[in-house]
Amino acid sequence: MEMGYTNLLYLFDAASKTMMLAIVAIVMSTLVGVIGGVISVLGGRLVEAMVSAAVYVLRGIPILVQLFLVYFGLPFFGIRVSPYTVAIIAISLHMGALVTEVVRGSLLALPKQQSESGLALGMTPLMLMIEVLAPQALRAALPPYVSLIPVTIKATSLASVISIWELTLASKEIANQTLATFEVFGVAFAIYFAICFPFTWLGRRLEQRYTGYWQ
Amino acid sequence: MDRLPETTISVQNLHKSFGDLHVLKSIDLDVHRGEVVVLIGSSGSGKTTLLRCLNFLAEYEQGQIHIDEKLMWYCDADCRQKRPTKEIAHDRAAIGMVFQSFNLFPHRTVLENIILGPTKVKPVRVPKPEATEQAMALLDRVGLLEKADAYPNTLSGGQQQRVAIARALAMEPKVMLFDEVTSALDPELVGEVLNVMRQLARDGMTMVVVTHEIHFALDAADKVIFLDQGKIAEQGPPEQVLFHPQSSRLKDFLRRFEEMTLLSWRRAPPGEKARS
Ligand SMILES: Nc1ncnc2c1ncn2[C@@H]1O[C@H](COP(=O)(O)OP(=O)(O)O)[C@@H](O)[C@H]1O
Ligand SMILES: [Mg+2]
Repeated sequence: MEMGYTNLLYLFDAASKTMMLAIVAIVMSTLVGVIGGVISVLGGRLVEAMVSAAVYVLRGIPILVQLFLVYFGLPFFGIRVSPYTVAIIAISLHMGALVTEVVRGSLLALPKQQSESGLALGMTPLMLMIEVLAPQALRAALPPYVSLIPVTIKATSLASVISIWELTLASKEIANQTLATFEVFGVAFAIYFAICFPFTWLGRRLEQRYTGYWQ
Repeated sequence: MDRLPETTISVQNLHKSFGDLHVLKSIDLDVHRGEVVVLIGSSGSGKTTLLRCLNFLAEYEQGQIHIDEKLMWYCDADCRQKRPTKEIAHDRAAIGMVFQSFNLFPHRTVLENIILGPTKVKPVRVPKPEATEQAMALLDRVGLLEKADAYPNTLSGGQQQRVAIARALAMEPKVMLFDEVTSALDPELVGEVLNVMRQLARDGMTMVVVTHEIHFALDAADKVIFLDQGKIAEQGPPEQVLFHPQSSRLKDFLRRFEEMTLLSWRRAPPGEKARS
């Protein structure tokens, strides 16, 4: 059996759905990560402990299990949301935990003297974060952050298990119809690779360029 | 005209511990307007900690510090009621501090480092054009006008430290604190930083200076304080403390310094030396 031109277009259509899902998940996980990382550095010991605990839990459970937890957990508490929302929540939380670690790590890696001199000038902790710490941490955070983007994109394929129509689910459909399993997943592979590769490459490049501190 | 308080810094019965380590033990200290006080003492005697208490980078358990007769920090017996962070930040803006390791902001140019305080931090914000003008005047004063647009990592240590001084001065502080600001510098760069500090002292800035540069103490200080194991062990005019140390600990401390060669030179001019 041949997979055919129409089916190819069908896969491209699904790929755009994957990209939409990924974009939303990337934006959300970035929000989660930046907020999580910043408050764990600024918020004092209790907040830091709470953020760390949440990160440990989220990192220690496969995304697939988190997806099921949210999928069956929310209705259990009487909250009804669409599978799409479930996928976004689960992926954003998991990836958000990873981004939190990146943000936190790059803030904590800054020399302590940077905070001291900012505070000595009379900055409040928030001012210090905005004017001194964040701009410097950004440089250290960017390479690992960009390297997480392909991970998020790939994670969207898990949404297929709660029957969200995206590239992986569409590939399964076509494979079942045409029985051209190898060709279909070969195309899916090529599409995923084409979407992810630029970010993998960029992450590497940034890492090579920004090594070490400024001095 | 407003009456200006005579005592810029007043420290009473200051105690500070790190856990079980009692680092500052009942420090009393008055610094008058325009006075230059030099703090000496061996490593670990508590000099840095004292400076950090003066602008509350370090919290302390007991004692009071007034800057311009205003109580700057309080903490009740159980330290439950502290001053709000915002107020502390506000008060710190009036106290300039320069560190051993320069600590310029590496992502900003020299000029941006200097105007950051006045334009974004100072309780009464200065508009950018005005702040820039003042910053250029300060750069001129520390001899670095041509470096305004350079990034800190392109400057020598001595130049970075002079920028750090200009950055602190841009806040128009009442007091300047210096913590071993020449210790990280190559010997040939020490002079340019000390000269800026000498000029500052002549201009009437109130200064507390931790330094091992004994000659700076001799020609710029009004008072030298020897800190030993968290206590003020000796204090007085520079000649008295440096040339006529009373305690054996201060004598030992002074003996350990290379600058002693300079001191002996001053006590016994080269002519006499040549004869002996
Ligand atoms: N953050 C800290 N935690 C624990 N101990 C400290 C801390 N800072 C300083 N100390 C200790 O306090 C003492 C005084 O240190 P410091 O004020 O830096 O001395 P100095 O500047 O005179 O060399 C030293 O014994 C030092 O180890
Ligand atoms: Mg010190």
